[in-house]
Amino acid sequence: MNDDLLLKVGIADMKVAKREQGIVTFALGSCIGVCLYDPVTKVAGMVHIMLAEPGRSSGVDNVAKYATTGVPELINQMVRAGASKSRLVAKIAGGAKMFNMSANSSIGDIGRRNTETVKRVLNEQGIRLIASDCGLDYARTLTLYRESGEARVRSYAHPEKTL
Amino acid sequence: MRNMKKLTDMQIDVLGEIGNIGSGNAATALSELLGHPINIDVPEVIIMDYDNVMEMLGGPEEIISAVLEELSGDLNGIMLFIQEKDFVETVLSSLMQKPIDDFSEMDEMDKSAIVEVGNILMASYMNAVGDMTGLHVDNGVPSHTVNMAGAILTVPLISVAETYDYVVLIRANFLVEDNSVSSNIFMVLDMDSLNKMLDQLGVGMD
Repeated sequence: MNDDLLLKVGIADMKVAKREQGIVTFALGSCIGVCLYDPVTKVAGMVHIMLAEPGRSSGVDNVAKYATTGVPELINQMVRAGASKSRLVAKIAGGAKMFNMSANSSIGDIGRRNTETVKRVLNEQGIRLIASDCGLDYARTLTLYRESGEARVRSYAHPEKTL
Repeated sequence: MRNMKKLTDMQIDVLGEIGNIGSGNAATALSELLGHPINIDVPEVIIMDYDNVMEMLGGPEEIISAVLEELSGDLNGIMLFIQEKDFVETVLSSLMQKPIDDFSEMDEMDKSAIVEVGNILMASYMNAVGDMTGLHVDNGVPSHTVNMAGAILTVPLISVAETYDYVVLIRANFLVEDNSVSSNIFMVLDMDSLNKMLDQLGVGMD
């Protein structure tokens, strides 16, 4: 399917699809694409989070930037669009370590922390995580198809995966 | 939080000049290494944010080779040495006598050669910046990947994302072989370091 027919989610951004064919986000590195899907109403949503949670000093300027704020906001938007929270299932991809940084690096560990935090938040929200493709050292483009609920992960030098 | 999106023209000129001096030094090193003449474009000072990062280098899924170093010492930030396939091919054919047609043909020795070239270039660049500003900067250990441009360029944005949703980027372009083959050095400083450097050069923020 042509990417042009899909809603596009930027960095620190989220979209909910009720009629469109699907949603795509490109080149997730340590960021995570979280797909939520209601298989009955076929409402699909995706958020592209960058960090696990806001720092103590910084305010939340953009809820979609963080796992702890982005996932709950996506749930709210999907419920408003007709999804039932209790039916939502999740598929996630990303959380890679693009560069093999030294141990004291501030950026080396972000992917792993993002993955752990997304999983924790989904669990707290009572949402079942049914598929995940996280970690390792390469980027992923994630597409969620609204009719089937299928998610596909495209990457360089690795075969395409269906979640 | 100071708004660095509102750099004055003079500050942008000074940052461009830093890029000029850094990349000039790096180009000399690269030219000696490869035995080719190297040209450089006038460096650009770019505000990179969530909207334009994915289109910065030919689209988010464009496959590029990149060497990253984390700067520490008087200045903190990230340097990226980014090469398109043609540039890697040129470097490997002159250093390793091994032409490649695709990134997938690079073996560990080829990657190590690219890392070393990146290390030399970025060290030359920062030496010149250090001389100009009187600041001491450590370049850190280089790390290499071949992957999607969007994910690689997002790394500097993530490094400051808790406080800022953009970075100030100094981009220098190196041209080899009748200007058809190019690579880039991106210098991204955290905001405190950017302020410190501008202060040091007499054009600080108020």
